[in-house]
Amino acid sequence: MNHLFALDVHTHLGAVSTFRPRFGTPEEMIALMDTTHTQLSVVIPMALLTAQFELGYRETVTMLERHPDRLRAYTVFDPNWPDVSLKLVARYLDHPGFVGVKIHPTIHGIDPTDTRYREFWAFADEREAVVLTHSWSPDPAKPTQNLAVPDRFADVLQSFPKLRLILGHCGGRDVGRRLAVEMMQQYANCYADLSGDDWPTGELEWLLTQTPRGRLLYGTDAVWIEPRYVFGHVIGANIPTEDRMAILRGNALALFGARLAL
Amino acid sequence: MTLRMLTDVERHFEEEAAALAPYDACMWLGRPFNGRIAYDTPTALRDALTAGPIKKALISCTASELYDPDTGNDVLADALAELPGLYGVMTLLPHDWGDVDSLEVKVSINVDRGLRAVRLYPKSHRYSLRIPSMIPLLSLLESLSLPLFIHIGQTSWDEIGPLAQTFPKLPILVESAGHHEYLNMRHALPWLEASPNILVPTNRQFLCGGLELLVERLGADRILFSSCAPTLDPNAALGPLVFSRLPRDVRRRIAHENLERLLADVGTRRARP
Repeated sequence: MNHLFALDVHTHLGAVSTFRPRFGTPEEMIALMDTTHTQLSVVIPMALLTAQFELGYRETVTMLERHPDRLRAYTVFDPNWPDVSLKLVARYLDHPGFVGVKIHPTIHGIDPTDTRYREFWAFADEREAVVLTHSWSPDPAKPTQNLAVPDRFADVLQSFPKLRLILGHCGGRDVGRRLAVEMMQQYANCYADLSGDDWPTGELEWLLTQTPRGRLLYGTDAVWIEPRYVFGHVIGANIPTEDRMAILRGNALALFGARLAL
Repeated sequence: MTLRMLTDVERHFEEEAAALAPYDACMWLGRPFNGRIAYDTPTALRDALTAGPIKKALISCTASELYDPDTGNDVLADALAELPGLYGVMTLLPHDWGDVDSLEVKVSINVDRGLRAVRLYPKSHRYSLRIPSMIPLLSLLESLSLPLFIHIGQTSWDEIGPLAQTFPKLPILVESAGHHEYLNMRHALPWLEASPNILVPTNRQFLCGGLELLVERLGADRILFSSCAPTLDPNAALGPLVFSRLPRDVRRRIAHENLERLLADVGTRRARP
């Protein structure tokens, strides 16, 4: 069965120092996308997330040029290098294949309300950009996760209503998921993706009853986390087929619009 | 057009899951630490098996970890009396018995009550696998062919690896391999390759392509499907198996044959006369 329709808004490509991704090349990732009926994945280039900007953009542009029918990418704003990073984001956001901006308060170790983010938020608002952030639950064992707890973004969502913020991993765990739901209920510019490794029985059914229509996006965290895990959660959920299709495709189409160039 | 595609995939998922006939190595009776769904009665568990994609499971009990092992074992044994055809997993402690004989009696009683595997929680129950009393405990399990489940977060590879080599006939099912170390198999794989009696249940094995990696490096006979339902979604657990391109016969071994084989010998032997 060669049906390709899903749009995966949260994936990774590139090297990682702490482990070796199993399907780590664009070609391997695309073969994996075929198994989950994924037409298009939006990639977070690892080199950009780890401050290797020049290398990262070079690798990413090559990847996008090679696979224009299957891959898109996020630029990355790194608040540890706010000036150079923002200049590159501004340049590449107009480059074909780049569809939004990724931020990662936990990896970068900086609160999203820190002054080093200020210019970026204004820029993203002016450009009506889609911003994907890592989000997670408070975790006493890993305090930097507190920098990405969903309600940390309340002021940003309030002050910059034209940007669209995706809470990656939908808050990660139970407490974070409840806070992500609150943010989506309160702010029309807040979305969440389903990427992650902790999906309790019935969780998607619950999320659908709690969130405004159109806010949940299919994401997998491939090629770090197993994408067939999240895909199984979505495909097996006891929800109408139309809602499943909205999560797997329609909501991302509406959010990213013409930028996806499908 | 795309809706038609999706209904095809929905149907494929349902049919393929049924064809694999999964025998889940980890389903939970009782209320978990948190969440929205609990199989807190035998009826609730039976209903979940009837309605869901998994029809057969080896049952563990949340009370055994969170409250008291012996009480949890009793709750589970009572539930199994209402769930014909299902087996359970007893939880043991190394330090609450006076001598090996009393442990043997306890284990024999539990085996007779349908508890055909063992769980240990060294971290939650405040001990270490390195204490001297682990030796007679693990010797007993090995002599009875009782599989041992242990979550890697309850111990460490450097602790479990040498024990696996000391007790080479004891099947040790290490849960969350690769996930607890945040996808890092650099610590796990050398021990897994060195110790053929370490088996890998698939619950919380979230490394992208982890199933294929484990089959390639360890062989399919050492991988066992498990869901950790209802704490985790059984549909999500089935996803990697259903949508894998591994051959159907390999996936069937993982889905149910390996667990059936593992449990076949349990209860047929007695402890030392």
